[in-house]
Amino acid sequence: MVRGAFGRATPWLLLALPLLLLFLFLLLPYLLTFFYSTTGATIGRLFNVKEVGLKNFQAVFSEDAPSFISVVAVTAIFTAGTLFGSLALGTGLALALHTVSAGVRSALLAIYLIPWVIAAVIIGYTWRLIYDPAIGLANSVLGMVGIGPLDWLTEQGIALAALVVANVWAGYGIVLLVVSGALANVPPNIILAGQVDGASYARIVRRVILPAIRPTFLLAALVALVSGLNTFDLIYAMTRGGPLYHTETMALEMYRLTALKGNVGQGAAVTVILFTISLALAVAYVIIWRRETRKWS
Amino acid sequence: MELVRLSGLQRLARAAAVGLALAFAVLPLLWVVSIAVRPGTQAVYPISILPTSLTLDNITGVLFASNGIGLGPYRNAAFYGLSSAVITAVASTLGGYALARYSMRSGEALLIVILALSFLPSASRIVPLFILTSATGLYGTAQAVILAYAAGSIPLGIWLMAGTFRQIPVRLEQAARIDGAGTVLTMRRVVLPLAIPGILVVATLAFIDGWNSFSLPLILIPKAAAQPYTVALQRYIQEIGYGINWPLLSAGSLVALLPVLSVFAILQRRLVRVGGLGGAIRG
Amino acid sequence: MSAGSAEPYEVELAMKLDIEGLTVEYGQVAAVHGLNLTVGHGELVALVGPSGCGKTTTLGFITGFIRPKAGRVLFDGVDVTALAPQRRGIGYVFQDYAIYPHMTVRENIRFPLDAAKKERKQAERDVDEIAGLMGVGNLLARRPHQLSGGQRQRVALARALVKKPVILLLDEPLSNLDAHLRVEVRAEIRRLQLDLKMTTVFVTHDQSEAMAIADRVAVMSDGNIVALTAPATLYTRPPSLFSARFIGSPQINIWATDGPDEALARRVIQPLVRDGGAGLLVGVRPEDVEIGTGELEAVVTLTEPLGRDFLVHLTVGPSSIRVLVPAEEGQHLKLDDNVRMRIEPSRLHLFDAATGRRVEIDAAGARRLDESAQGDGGLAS
Repeated sequence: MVRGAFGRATPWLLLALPLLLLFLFLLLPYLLTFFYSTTGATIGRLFNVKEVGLKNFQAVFSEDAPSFISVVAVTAIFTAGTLFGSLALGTGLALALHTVSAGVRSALLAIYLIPWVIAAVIIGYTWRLIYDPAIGLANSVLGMVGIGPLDWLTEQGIALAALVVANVWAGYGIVLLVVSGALANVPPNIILAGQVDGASYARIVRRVILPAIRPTFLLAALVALVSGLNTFDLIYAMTRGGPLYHTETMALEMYRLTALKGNVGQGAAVTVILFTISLALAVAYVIIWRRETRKWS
Repeated sequence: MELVRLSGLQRLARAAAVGLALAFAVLPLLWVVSIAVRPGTQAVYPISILPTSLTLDNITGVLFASNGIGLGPYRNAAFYGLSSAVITAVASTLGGYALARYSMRSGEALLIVILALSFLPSASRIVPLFILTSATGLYGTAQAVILAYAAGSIPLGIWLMAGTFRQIPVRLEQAARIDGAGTVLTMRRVVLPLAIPGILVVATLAFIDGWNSFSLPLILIPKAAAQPYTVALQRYIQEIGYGINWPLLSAGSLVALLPVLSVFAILQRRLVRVGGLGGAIRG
Repeated sequence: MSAGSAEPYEVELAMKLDIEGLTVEYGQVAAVHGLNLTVGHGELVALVGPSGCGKTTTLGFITGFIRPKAGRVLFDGVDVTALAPQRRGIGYVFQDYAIYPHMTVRENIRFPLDAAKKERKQAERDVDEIAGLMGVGNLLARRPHQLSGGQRQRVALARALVKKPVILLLDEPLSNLDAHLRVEVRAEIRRLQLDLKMTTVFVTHDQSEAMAIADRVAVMSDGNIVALTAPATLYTRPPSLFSARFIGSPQINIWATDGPDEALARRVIQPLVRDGGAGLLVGVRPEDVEIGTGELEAVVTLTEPLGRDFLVHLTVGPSSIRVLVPAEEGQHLKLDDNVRMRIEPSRLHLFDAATGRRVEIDAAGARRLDESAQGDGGLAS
């Protein structure tokens, strides 16, 4: 309808700058990573690299300290914990706030969203302080009820759970934000109709509200899932994968292999694996989302 | 008006849940503040919940003392963040306008690819960006960091700007044309003024992203003088023996929080209205 | 134009508008097929038709926002088809007014003058003048969201007129107003247009609005103009079946001389035609039927009080008919009453069943197609 200044080429001229930046600094690095994952590149030797086929992947799989199985397991537990924790807290809070008046809601929302804007690494320091055996709030609170001080981040059984709690704190905000936005768009009349029909609030939530926000809920779930998978800053700030690799996730592993071990090829191999999983999830989401929205329109 | 009429018991449960969550949301930060503003001698075991005396020594220490990180790292973070915000705002405005106003055959596919890219968080980019910058000689430069930040913020920015422009009726642009305005005047006087709220949100989000970034500068900037505070604050953590200078680390964190929290306080309504991704994810 | 008129806004610039062979293929907009239209100096032509008939497409072509597959648009004989919208000097009032929400009323009205780089002082004087003329002089400092619907409408008109447009286009300008305001503003627009001698195209889907305001009414259907005449003629001698049905409320009664209504249709045209009347559609407006006398017998099936009149639904055998009767007669009619009725043959409208064109019967009882009307597909449409 609108005539552009340069006819058909106008949109592409407008898109040139963003697309160029996205290509150079988002897409191209990934393409390079796919290439490097099949080479013997090291930090000191990035050019004239030797083609090694899938050897890097074999090396990654057969690594024993930490074993790749353990890395995958830690990643899975950490991600699952983050996912369910943030979804439950974020959605629960959004539903609770949905029932209060708009003024109170936006004031509370502003406070709840504070962690969302804080740097992950600062969140890591904050929770590391909370968990500090000597001056941490966690042990102070436990002490008040007579439970003895715990070594939150250095005890093997506890560290991962402690990280999950910190990451839920970091991640529930985006779920709350997205789900609140969706709830605000649920037509009030279908909720009122549910009440007129005599349904309990719990029933209205389950049968009316949650189905109505399903596409957005899936989006929030995906965002939480992918960010859980890729959490680096927070773990790095809190445990650096310790104690004894008990919190070493794939995101830390690719940093360790690249920057600490200097093996760019192996780091690239882990990145390719993580990238592929993340991209598969993103594509799966887009497919599910389009099917859902079609169902509703 | 309240949407749902709840029973007394339900109200009580709601109040308890909201209150507990509030404590969960703010207590960790209050603890950081409490450690940052008490003298170092009080930050030892057994710890008192409230500081018995207050001091700004830790904050001035981080910023100005010989064992501080100085103002430089904060200035670096601000420079990277602001530069990325400007580039992101410009690129997202251009791209968002193109996708909102022109129906291109490949437009929808492009939007989906951009959406998928925006789902890839920065951690998965550290190794790729290290390889790219090393291979092109950009390693260690400010341009590399800034453009890497911007590239991370542009996908969401384009989505938000496309949503913003879709909400500006095409008719206003047509009206401006009929009123005799050419492309430049239509953009300057009609379209951009109406898009300012969206542009502000995009720039703010990009600034916050850049200001908060840790893993990218950790691997892309070897030179201490060019590092942002996120990397510089690590000097207070000695991994061996887990010795951590908590008063200074807390004070440094507190200083880092102030800019984002003030920006957030000013723009939170707008940020919330954008609904995070919700507003942009449609059609 | 009267010489020495003190009217400052007498628009001497008003141009004649010609659209030649406009063809737009179906896409984002409704299709138009080879449309021709001429609007004379100072004339107001109403484009009326159901949604999707191509009215808005036609306006989009005049403004230059829609590129046609074929066709030209001429202002005073000059081809402007290739000219960008901003260079055509058109005044346009959008259905939703399209007032710039971030500007004051003054800035809105001044915008066309700013775009023309008019000197600021003169521009402000022009704004004050047109705002006074439109009765919004006291609103100049306000923001659009502080205005009522009627006030926005006037601001939109002021903005369209301030630059002394060569042609004024009004796209459903009344449809967002309350019913009582609509009649009032309609009259005001007409008075203004006559005063300023603006060449005007007025688009509406409301046939009564079109009839009330226009010098000529163009009825559009499926991407073309199917009737283009003065309002009175359009009503009394509709050139096609479509316009007969579209203009007038309650709608005209139509019976085919072949099919279920055959008996009634052939009976009422008997005095007119000699050939029995095959292949005709017979129409009569509800107010043209007389109740109480005549040889047709009908049964009342429903009466609807409309105020001054009653709309009475009747059946004659298998056929149904709507009749307008004055209230004092209508209130005595009851369900299942038997009534007599009569239709004056001169009040009948005949159309060709195949093409929908108006058919005239000459004194000898022979059919003659009305050459002034275009067909619109008969019953099929």
